[in-house]
Amino acid sequence: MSAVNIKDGRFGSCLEHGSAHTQDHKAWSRRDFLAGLGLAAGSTLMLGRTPVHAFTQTSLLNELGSMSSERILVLVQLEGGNDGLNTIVPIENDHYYRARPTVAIQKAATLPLNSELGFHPSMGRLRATYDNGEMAIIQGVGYEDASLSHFRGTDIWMSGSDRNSHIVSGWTGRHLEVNYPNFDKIPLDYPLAVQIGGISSRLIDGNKHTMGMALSNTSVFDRLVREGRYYDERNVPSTGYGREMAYVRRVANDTYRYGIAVKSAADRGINEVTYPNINGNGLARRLSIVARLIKGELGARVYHVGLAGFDTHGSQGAASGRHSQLLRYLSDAVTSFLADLGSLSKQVLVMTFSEFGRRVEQNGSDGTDHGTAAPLFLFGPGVNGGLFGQAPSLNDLDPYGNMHHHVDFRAVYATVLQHWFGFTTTASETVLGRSFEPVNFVREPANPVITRTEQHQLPEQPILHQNYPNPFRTETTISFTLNKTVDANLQIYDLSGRQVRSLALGVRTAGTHEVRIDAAGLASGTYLYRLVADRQALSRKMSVIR
Amino acid sequence: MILKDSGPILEIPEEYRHYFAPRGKRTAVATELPPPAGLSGGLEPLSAPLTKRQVDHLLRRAEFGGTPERRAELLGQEASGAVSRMINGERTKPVPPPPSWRATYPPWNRPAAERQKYFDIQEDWFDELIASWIKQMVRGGLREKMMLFWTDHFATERATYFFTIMAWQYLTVINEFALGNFRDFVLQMGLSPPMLVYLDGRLSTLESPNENYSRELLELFTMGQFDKDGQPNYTQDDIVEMSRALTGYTVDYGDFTARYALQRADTAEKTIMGRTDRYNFGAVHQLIFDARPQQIADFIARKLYKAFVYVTPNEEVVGQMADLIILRNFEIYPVMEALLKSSHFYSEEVMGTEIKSPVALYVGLFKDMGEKVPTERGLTLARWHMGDLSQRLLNPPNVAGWPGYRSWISTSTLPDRWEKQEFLLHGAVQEYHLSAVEVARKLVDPEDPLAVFKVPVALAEHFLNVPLEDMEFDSPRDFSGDLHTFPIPEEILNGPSYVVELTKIFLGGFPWYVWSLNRQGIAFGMLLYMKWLTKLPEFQLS
Repeated sequence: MSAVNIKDGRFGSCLEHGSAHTQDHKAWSRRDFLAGLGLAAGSTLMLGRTPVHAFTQTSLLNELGSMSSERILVLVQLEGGNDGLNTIVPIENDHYYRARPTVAIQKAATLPLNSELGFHPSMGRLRATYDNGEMAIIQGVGYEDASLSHFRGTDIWMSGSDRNSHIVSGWTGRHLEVNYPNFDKIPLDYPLAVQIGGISSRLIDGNKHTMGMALSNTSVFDRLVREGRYYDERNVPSTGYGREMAYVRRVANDTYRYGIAVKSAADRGINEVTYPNINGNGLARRLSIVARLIKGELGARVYHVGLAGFDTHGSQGAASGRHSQLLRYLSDAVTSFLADLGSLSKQVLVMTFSEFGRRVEQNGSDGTDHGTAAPLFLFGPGVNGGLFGQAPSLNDLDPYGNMHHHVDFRAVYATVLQHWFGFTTTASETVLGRSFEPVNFVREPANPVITRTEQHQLPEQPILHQNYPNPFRTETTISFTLNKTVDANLQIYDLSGRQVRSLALGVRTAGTHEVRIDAAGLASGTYLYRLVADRQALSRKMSVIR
Repeated sequence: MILKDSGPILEIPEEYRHYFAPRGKRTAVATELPPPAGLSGGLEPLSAPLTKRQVDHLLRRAEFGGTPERRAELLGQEASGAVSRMINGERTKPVPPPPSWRATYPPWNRPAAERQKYFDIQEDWFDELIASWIKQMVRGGLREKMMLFWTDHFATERATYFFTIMAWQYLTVINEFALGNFRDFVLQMGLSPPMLVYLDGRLSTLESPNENYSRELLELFTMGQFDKDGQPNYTQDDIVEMSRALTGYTVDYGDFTARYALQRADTAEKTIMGRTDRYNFGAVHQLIFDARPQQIADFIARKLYKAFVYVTPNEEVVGQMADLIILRNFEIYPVMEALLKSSHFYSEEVMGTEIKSPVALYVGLFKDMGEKVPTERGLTLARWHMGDLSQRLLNPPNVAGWPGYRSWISTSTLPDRWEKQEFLLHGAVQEYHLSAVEVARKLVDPEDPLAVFKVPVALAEHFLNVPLEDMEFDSPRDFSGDLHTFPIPEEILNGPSYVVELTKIFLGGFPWYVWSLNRQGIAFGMLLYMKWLTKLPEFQLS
């Protein structure tokens, strides 16, 4: 993708400044908007009998309350197709050294990983991360009949489609859409996904909505706020023009609110480590901003940043040179980022991806051409460190001299969805189109997703509802209604009294909550499920059939 | 050009399959549409002379915008005469010369390296093709606007057929028939190699007829699934039978020609829409127009209305358009002519209701700025930037075209539009040469003592299709300087408030009596004003 780098001229500040400030005063807040919309639209918002202000309050509280404890995904895109073989080097493989007379990394130069593999010499800091068990390497990631086009390849990785289908939305956009089904009805004050860098925004497009915002560089949100303002969405002419005007103004206002949320989170969050060479290393610059946003509790669940330059057709270098510098950037940026996050890094999973790997044999310009499978990395304390998958054979190549993949990239996505974000297999299938066997790189798989539903009159006591469907084969939903904000636990017992599942749900607000239960691992039979909340325990029965 | 009768048919070697992307998946896009525009006038011509706003509306909708000179020329003309002249000019406009590589075919019999080179160069050619098309749009008018419309209507994705010669063939058909006869257009499009590839016509044979093209031919290209009363226009059996009739053609990858091979064709009898005959490719195209003329006319009228007037059709106007289409035997220009002259087209209800597509945004700015054709690099950048904003020329997301309308604007694309607009105005001066000073000098007499009050209003009127009195302004700074010696002229203070407000924003604290269009160094202030103007939500509408 072509990245536009707009030099941040200081022009414009005086012109819009005043405008933004005066508007601030008469601007209606998002809450007013909700109230206004709710009163006008009534049942279409499914507000039920709940007074609008209570609804607004609880839903926002819910979002805010859930924010700090929720898991975050940071996607690092290695733009251009990273050369996997020179990243994790097959140091005992003669085919590798024969195919790359000038480009191969000599064994002695690598940083040993095991008897077969070595890290590229410029990845010293990441190797330490690996040694600490906070880096997972998934080898041989790719997909059937890979596309060698940058654009198509990038589309495939971003959308999570396969070679023979073409999906316009992005996998994280769909993921967030599943997680926030009421996104359009309950507007958030912050973006759920943030992209930084001049990269295509398809990734965060859901089927119906764009789930966040893209900032072409790290200083844009400053300008968004400085030059932004609220526009009146309601006071428009009652013509077709007025309707479209109101729409564009609404999006402009959303953008402005997101900008404010991003800016204030960035102001609250402080970088506590020095990122090496931050002026040269664009990834470090972007990740340092992401660190501030996470520390500043922005609430976004997905971040997407990129590092360009991996399309090393010519003079890619070996132990030193172009590719080496890129890997150093990656290594420095990711390790500094995790250190900067401190204890918050537990909540953050960093994942790399690239549109393809590169060809085994070097080309005539001391570089490598577009290839197929490559390793993918995951970082963070939440990661089960180690090697996964299988290094592709260099003897068994496809007719074009490319490696065969062993792990479909969507198996990695499925793992992120199921183990990291707690999606059920069914929900993960909704996002990825079919099921994939997860890879066990998440240290502590998450509880199934809690979805918030609209609430009705609050009961006097907590209520545990009958699960639905019941009996069930693959998945069921247990819902309960809380009369106030309490710490809730849900346990499942078999009839012999053995506890088979325990879900610490954490602090949940008043209202109805749903927990999806995956039947995987449960034999057919009757089970008891039990809610413990507000010093009370309630139970009901459910049945699994096979 | 695209049909050849003899010689062996060359297939694409399997080893190059990497280069061809699959078709996009059609996804249901549920967009809530507003109610139709009230009927303040039908297809009868507007009688009063064109006002400034009406000229603006005509140029933005029928073309991509207009230079100050073009607008001045149209102001006060009768809509009827102005549109007739526009249509006549556009119909007789010559087609751009073909590219130098139009007959450079793949060297299939040469060594692999040479073949590879041919594949490698396709992207460069495509870049060149799109650049010259954008150039044509900037200089062009209604024909180019229609071309963009047809690439959305007869959607194909270049990524599926890949070879740039086919992209050029496709654009050539689109160009030729942009204002031509719809019947002939459908047939020629169906026989064009890119379409034969895109909707699997080339793979459809006697043994295994493929329904893909026959289905889209009816559903998306000509009549839609249902007529205006909700009755089905055809059955699944019709599609199956039609797909048999459409067999026989394939694509020769030696020279990218459409080829007919009798042994591939199903020549037996078929029953389609209640009629039985030995229908072949051409006869099927004839048949659907004979069997469902009203439905096709309704369908096309509706689509044209949505693209040029308003997103929700007014049934009465669409009905009148359909009648005219039938009356004129499916010629496109008469209905466009009637529509662009009509009082309905100029009704308040539909003005400023269109959300600019990325292409309209870019080309519109180039056009309004005085038909500024970007440099080669600027054109390439523009192409990619339109893609970032989710409109890749000749690569719509799927066979249904771009979802358009409100989907163009999101929390992700709107700030991106702002960034890119600023880049056009300021960040890439050498690529685009957009100068607000130059435009202002054409809009306002530099010697006019009140120019400082006229320029901000003239620029706002030139770049926004919005009644200024409906806009909310709040200028950050008041007039400054020695207002005692140089009071704001009475006629300005007594005029509409937006004149005063816009001037204050425009001056940003600079003394009004010092400013002049002849003054050195005003470009920067003008740029700030343009930046502010283009950031208004109103700028995204046309």
